[in-house]
Amino acid sequence: MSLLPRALPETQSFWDGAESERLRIQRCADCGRHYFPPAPVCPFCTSREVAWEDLSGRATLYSFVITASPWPLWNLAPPFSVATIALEEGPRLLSTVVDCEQTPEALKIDMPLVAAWRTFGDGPKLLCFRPAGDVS
Amino acid sequence: MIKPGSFAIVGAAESTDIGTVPHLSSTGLALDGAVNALNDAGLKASDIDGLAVGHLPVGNMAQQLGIYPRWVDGTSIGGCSWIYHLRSAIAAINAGYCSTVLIVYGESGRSHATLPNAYDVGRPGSIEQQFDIAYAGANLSATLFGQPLARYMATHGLTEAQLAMVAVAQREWAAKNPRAKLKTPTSVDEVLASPMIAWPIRRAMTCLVSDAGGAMIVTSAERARDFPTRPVYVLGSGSAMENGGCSPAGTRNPMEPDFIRTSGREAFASAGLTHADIDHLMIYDAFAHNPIFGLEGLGFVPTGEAGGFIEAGHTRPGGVLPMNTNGGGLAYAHSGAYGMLCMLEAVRQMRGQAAAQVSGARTSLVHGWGGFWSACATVIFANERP
Ligand SMILES: [Zn+2]
Repeated sequence: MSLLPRALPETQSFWDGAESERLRIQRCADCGRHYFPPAPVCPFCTSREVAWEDLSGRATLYSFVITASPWPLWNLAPPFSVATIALEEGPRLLSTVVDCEQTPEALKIDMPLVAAWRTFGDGPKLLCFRPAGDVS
Repeated sequence: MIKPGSFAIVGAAESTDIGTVPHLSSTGLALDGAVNALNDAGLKASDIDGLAVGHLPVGNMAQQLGIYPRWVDGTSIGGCSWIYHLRSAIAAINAGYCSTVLIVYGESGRSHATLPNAYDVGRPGSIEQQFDIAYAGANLSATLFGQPLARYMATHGLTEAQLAMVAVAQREWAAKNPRAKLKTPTSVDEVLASPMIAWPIRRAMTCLVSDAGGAMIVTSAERARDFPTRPVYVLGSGSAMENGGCSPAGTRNPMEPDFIRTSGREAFASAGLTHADIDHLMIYDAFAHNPIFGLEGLGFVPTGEAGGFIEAGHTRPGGVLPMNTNGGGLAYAHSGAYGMLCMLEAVRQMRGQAAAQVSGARTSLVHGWGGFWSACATVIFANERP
């Protein structure tokens, strides 16, 4: 199992966006919906008329666990959150919440988040989220 | 539609040893379970004309058992694969593609877990390798399977003590089972004092890491009378797939997953039964919250009430709905893909040969998961032909 993300032609734009700290996913021109993970076909209506868009990065915390194991891949010491993030545009994805105490009290279901970018170890720039605070 | 009870399990067995079996790899455990199932049915390898194997190459298994199948199924979609195999085997026999199918499982999840497995998640470029694994951490089974749990607790008020009760109830079943790994009774306090794995999941809410194999043989009900074993009839089944990869983030509704409901509805409809007809239940418990989501998704308990249902003792010995009576993945054995072991406990219960036998049980429902909120399958067994 190789742990470092390996981009495909169909996902390269997502990773290019990440390098410049832009959250970029696709939206379908036919049904209007955003979707994730990246693919050249809309999973809602099978249309090929899809295009990449830069998103606001606004999101909420759908759910999470707080792992007690270290993560050698990013030289990350526990505890750290593994979180399901609900993007404002609809899709959910897996990420982590940074700049926040990693406790069940501080991490609140549905709390507002914004995209944040972090580099762990030798990895590529990775999409993370931080509490939105008073950012509206 | 296939009439309920048209097909039956005529051979079923686990590997001779389970738990810690360092002298066998996954292949060896699978072969051992297969030979035990053949002996159980009084069949020779040459009597088998259909072969289904999950997570191991089906062709190698055919070669090593000396089976020359007319029909094979190598579906490998996680722990429920072998329940899918049973469904497909019945359809294949019904279509005339074969007559007697051997379904084989083996997994050295403890002693030789680093050997490759056909279901290895995280192939380079896969969805999960690009978008999940980097975040999931070292204990990805807990961090991924655990995703819906915190939101469920916040929404429905499920308490950590109720979650702990799943492990407590299953330990009571395991205490009756000499083959179970954890036979000592436990308590809510003890479960909640066990080390944190991934909040809110603690070690005692997490399945064992075991070596195990097992196999079963299915054929038509007409032929089932010719075998030395008591036939266990398949009344109905269901299955559904939601997504691939690992993270439940892309599941349409992680809190009330559609795929559980689809699979359960089809199982009940094809069996012609209702929930009140089910005497015994196996819901694959990789973690303590899996049976909670399963009880609700299958329709046994209204949404949000399964924690209270288990806390009230309804699934423990003497309860109205005996569940995971071998002790489950939490206390019996869990070698990585547990679906076959779930079905084998149901077969033992239907034969009246279980270590913790539910007296008078005539029907059993088995529900297994694949991946992490990726797929599931359900089967309903009975010990009498309707
Ligand atoms: Zn579309």
